Amino acid sequence: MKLFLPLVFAAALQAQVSYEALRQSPNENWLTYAGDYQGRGLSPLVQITPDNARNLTPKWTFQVPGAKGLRARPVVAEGVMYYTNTNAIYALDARSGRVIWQYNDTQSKKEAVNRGAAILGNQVYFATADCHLVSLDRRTGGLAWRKQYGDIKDGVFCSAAPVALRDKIIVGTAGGDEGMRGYLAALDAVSGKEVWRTYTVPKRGEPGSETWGDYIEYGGAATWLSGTFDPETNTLYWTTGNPWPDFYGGDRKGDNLYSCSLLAIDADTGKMKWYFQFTPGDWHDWDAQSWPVLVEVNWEGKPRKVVFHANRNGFLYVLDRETGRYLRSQPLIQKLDWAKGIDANGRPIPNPDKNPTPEGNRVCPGVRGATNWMSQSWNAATGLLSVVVLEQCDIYTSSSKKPEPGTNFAGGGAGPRPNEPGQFFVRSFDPLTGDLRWQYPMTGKAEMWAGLTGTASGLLFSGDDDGHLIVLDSRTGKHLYHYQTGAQIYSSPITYMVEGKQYVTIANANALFTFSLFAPVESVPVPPVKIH
Amino acid sequence: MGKLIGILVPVLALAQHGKDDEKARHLFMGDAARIEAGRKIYAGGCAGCHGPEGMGGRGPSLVERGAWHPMSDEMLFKTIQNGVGIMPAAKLPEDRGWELAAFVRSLTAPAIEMKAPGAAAAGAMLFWGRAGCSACHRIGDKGGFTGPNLSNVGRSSTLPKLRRSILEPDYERTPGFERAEVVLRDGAKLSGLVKDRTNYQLQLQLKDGTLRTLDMKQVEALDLQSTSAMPGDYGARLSREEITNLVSFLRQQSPQ
Repeated sequence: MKLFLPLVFAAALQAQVSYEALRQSPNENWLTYAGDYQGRGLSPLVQITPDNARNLTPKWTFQVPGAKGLRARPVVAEGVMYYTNTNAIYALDARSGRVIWQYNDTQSKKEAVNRGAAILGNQVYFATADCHLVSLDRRTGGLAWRKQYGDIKDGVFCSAAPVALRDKIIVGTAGGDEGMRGYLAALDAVSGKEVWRTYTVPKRGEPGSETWGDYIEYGGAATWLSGTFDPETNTLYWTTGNPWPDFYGGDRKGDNLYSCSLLAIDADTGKMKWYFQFTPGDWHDWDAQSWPVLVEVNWEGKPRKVVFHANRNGFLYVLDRETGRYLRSQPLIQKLDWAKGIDANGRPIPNPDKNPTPEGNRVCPGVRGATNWMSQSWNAATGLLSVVVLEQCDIYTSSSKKPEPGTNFAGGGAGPRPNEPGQFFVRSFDPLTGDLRWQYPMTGKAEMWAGLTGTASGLLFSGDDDGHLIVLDSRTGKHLYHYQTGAQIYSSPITYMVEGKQYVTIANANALFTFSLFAPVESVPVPPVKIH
Repeated sequence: MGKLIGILVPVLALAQHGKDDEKARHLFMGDAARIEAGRKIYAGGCAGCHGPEGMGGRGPSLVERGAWHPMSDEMLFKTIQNGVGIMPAAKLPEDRGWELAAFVRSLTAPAIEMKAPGAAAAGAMLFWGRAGCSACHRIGDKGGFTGPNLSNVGRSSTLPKLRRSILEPDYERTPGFERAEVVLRDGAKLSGLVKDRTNYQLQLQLKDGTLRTLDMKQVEALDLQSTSAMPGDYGARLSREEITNLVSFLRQQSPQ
């Protein structure tokens, strides 16, 4: 037997992914669910441009085993892509889509959608549907631990991509449509020990509990979308979901704090710094799960830290990021009739008779919201926030039946009239003035959940409502490229670079698709392989 | 052929519906003595079709799980006793039937769920010490990268597989651990494990866990070792008791 050669390449390709590296993402890597901590959805990569985007070409496809409606967005570190599905994670060669390792969590007692992974150090983290945070050695897929942070017996399940901070992993909870008590939690990145937990619905008797009724223990306000993070102030910005039952608020008269809200949370302690509630006492299932985009802008002549929030209730908000103070808002959509507008304090002024009724009541926007959890893209160079929006009205029905948690009871339901389907648009706004600069209308059945990723070169990548990857000019909305993936798209794209080549990846319902600029394939000689 | 489909359908149908019901777990499951008794019954009858180690032959493999979730204990017992498709009914006395079911279950159950003899602490000492396992295998944040990571092996493997992989490492090799020497066209030489390889690309893991992703057009020569790097003489180097202790240690590996 031949002796094996000593290690020649000492430089480690897979350096540990430090907190500092996470703060610098995205660059060639895409290290967090949102790309960066701030949720801006903008890559600095410039190899693919408005001039050459027409030369994009598919490079590889990865059929995710057993996938049905993939929601996850990949993360990429140094040429390795980590992609999750229900209770499973794959490490792929980001140039070729070939599997390096995979981990299937056979212990999970539930199946549900999964939105993605987080990386820190040598570890990659993801949540099982039954709320265990799994820590794996990202080089080998070796399991370090799986720590429980929620119990499905309490009506909770888990789908959010974890957020890795300096030494903690932040996790959220889902299940608010069936009655549960939402919370987010921080687990120690090394040991998995829970460091803090912050509930999004107060306990009976605590401040805020007076805004609920009899079912406060099952109030919901789930935290199923990863939050954003300001490293300078060590503050997490996390959104909360609807109060339960979704479509009947007769038993929970009041604002139902802290549902349908944005929470600013101290990342070390879990303490709430402030909250802003977009839809008090919601009857329409308008979770606030859309990204809090953290930006610095020139506001009335002075630099100001603000947060943009495109809400499911139809309005685009600008808030002061340090205090939560309302600054301005504007409609995202034209089909908006549940509220007359937003008052000076940021509270909606509802129109009468726009709650769900037993007979059914037509209300705009629809239950899927004016937008949702799909990513947005903010480009400071153009001052444009691009958002995927849905123009749709639904017939909302309600039921005053005694709520029973854990029985699929939502207090009613909603959906469009068959003869009045919705329509998706990409819209680019100046969020400081409210100007709509351009829009790109889509065809399709109003079924997708694709979001946006921009580039410094002036592109927007997205999925459309017909299953295409699309590329638009971010300044004008001009179409530049499209590719039919063969199934509906429910996730947001990413872009990254390996060995000097920029790639774009998007998942459709079943598979990952990766693109780069066309280059002729060079013939590869049959490799000189000797097998001993 | 039509009858074979008759065997498969109930298994798959069960796999679709829920989990192995813990309430229905029979007492004999995981009991080493009952499993051993079941093994003898198995060898006398079932092995003819399902193979001496349950690997399959004229009948289907009982080792490879066809689906995510196993059959319930009750269904397994009934299938044995009553037969299915062309498989004849065993019609054993009840306890014998359960012993056989316990043996069949032991072929696929995660090792951690099975009772096993041996001293895990002594096995741990062997793993981290004299047996040299940790030079190549990693558990938690200790150990090498050149063999499969065993942090979760109690969950991902079965007792028979654990024992066999120690005694006969070449019998079933884990994919991703083929050893390779690579000479690149620029003269550089690399040595590592082939995580994946096509005619166009190569994913190579170096000794320190570092991953190199290569295009095959960069590769001048690729030498592969088709045999396992794990020594095949543990059966001689370790006593029977030591092997049992090692298995006992490994079956506990499933971090929480």
